[in-house]
Amino acid sequence: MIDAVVTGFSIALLPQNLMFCFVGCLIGTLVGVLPGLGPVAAISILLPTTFNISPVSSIIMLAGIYYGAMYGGSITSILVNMPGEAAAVITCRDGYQMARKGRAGSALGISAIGSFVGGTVSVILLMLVAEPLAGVALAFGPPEYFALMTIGLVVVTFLAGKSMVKSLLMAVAGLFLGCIGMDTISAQSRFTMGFTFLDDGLGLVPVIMGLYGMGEVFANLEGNLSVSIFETKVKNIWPTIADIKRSLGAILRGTGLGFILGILPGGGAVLSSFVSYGVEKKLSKHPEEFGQGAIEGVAGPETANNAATGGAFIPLFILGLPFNVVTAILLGAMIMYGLRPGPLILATDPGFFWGVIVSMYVGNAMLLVLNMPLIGLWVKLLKVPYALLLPLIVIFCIIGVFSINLNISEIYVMLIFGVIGYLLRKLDYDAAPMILAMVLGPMYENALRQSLILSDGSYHIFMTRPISAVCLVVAFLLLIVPNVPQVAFWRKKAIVEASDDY
Amino acid sequence: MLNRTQDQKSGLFWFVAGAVIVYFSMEYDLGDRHAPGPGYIPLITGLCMMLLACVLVFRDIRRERESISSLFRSTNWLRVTITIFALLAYAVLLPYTGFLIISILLMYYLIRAAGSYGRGVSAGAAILFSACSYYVFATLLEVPLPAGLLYEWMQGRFGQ
Repeated sequence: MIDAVVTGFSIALLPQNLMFCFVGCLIGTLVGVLPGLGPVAAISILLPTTFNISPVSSIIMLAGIYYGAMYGGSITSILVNMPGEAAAVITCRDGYQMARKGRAGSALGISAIGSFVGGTVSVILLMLVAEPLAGVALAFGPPEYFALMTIGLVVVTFLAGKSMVKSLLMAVAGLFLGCIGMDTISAQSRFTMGFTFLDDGLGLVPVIMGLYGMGEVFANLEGNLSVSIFETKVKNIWPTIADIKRSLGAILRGTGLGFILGILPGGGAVLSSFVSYGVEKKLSKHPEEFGQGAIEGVAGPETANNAATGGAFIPLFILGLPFNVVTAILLGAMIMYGLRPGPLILATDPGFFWGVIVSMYVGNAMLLVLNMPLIGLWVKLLKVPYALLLPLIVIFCIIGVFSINLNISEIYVMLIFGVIGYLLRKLDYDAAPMILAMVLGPMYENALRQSLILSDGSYHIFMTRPISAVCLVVAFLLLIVPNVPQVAFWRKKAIVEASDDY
Repeated sequence: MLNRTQDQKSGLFWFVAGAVIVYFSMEYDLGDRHAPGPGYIPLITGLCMMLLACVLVFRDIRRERESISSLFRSTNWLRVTITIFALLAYAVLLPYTGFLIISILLMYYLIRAAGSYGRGVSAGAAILFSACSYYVFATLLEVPLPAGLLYEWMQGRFGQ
């Protein structure tokens, strides 16, 4: 393996690849910073521009956008309470509270350090465990996938929002949205209302940009916009020793959680950040501080979402299966470049595989070295009056949505979900479970239907397989436990306090 | 008259939405439990939605009531509504006017609506932002933003 890593470094450190890695990280951070324009849209927009460069350079740049956005997303979450992308949603809770207390610098600093540690360690783990994990994952069947996705959804609803019933409603609505489009087994169009562009399913990007980008725009338009977007001075970007001591456990746990959840289907950056937040809150000696500016609430999720990006590349490269939207786009890109991701890629394209993997290590170091000093620049970008930033957000959302399929209908979808997102905010619903369920929906449906076909219609298949059984029992307990009076009281107290200012 | 709370009203919405999903799911093949059809999962999600909506409504009845109108009391409805219609008009007109013209108009409106800038500053910013966006995305990144029928007509009329 050492030879392979050396080969990887020799490719990743080529001047042109270093340049593409840098460009990817920079664009990734930028799109992460700008609300409404996430890595999915950025990669989609830039994909056509990569056709004239080598596959390894292209994927290095596109991967750089992915993990760069994870870092950049935290900046807007912390400074303006507006997640730059979905994985940074949870960072708003404590990051923004820290900024309001004049500790924006510490929050940004610990976020950068956590992102670096998470990203770097996950790449090292990726190098070490890619092959063995591929063997284990290959043994997973539809029941295991179904159970893993179930627990993922239940964990998100358990953690999100003040009301678990509302979160479950959001998850169910998301599952339905995931059903829209052509059924993968029967090839029958469902709930498309005759619109052919819906045959491929409801686009995730228009939905996310609508719910978060446009929803935020509408919510801001209803109030007084004469205030500037950011009023607190960012100082002391290096966290104190006390901050690091408090965050160390969260960073280590976030790295492990993020990496593992990144590998799992439907996991990825969003789920890992939510789960990390929940774990930190549960393990904390001061859970009441969560939602009020607890630094662990920033360190854990930010580490986890970066660690998840490394984990997410395992199924993509080794199995040829994308488990989230960004890796799905990357898979499409690789196929367009004539590559065949899968178990054979290590034999057929070792230079590509190890070059891209090692570039992620280099990219994470670049992000730390470049972005700690550049925090001031990003902050300046955010100091642009919101009255001027708001039209830019709208136009980026429109271009981002349009550029994916070059279809104006997607703008209508974004607008509809913008209104929905605005109303959900007003009615105190959390959109995160809906988005996760929508992404998982088609996989979830396929896993359930395939499991039932395998078992000849018997639901016992989910309980006779150990991994599936354990996951479903845990998911069931997570659904039941909040209704135990004492637990309900604890959960209400903890979540309401955490969400009050969110 | 019953003063329905926000959760009751949203619960009723979800109940109706669930019922509609259930109704339309029936149009697809439900299959059986040995081989579920394309309508199977939508049917289950619709039923779950109705069940959860019932839980939300009945749980809320026992709680202190908060009128839904209180949530919207301080809302500047006019500005939000006009913006929604402005965006709708943008999407409708985009293929005809092309990206640049309609984006300048939208940006001008948004800058005026969101801030207290004068007409000159708003117009200047709208033109600058739209032109920069067009240059970056359409020229540098080669995203084929709609040129518009107006541009095509002008090209046909004067381009030769």
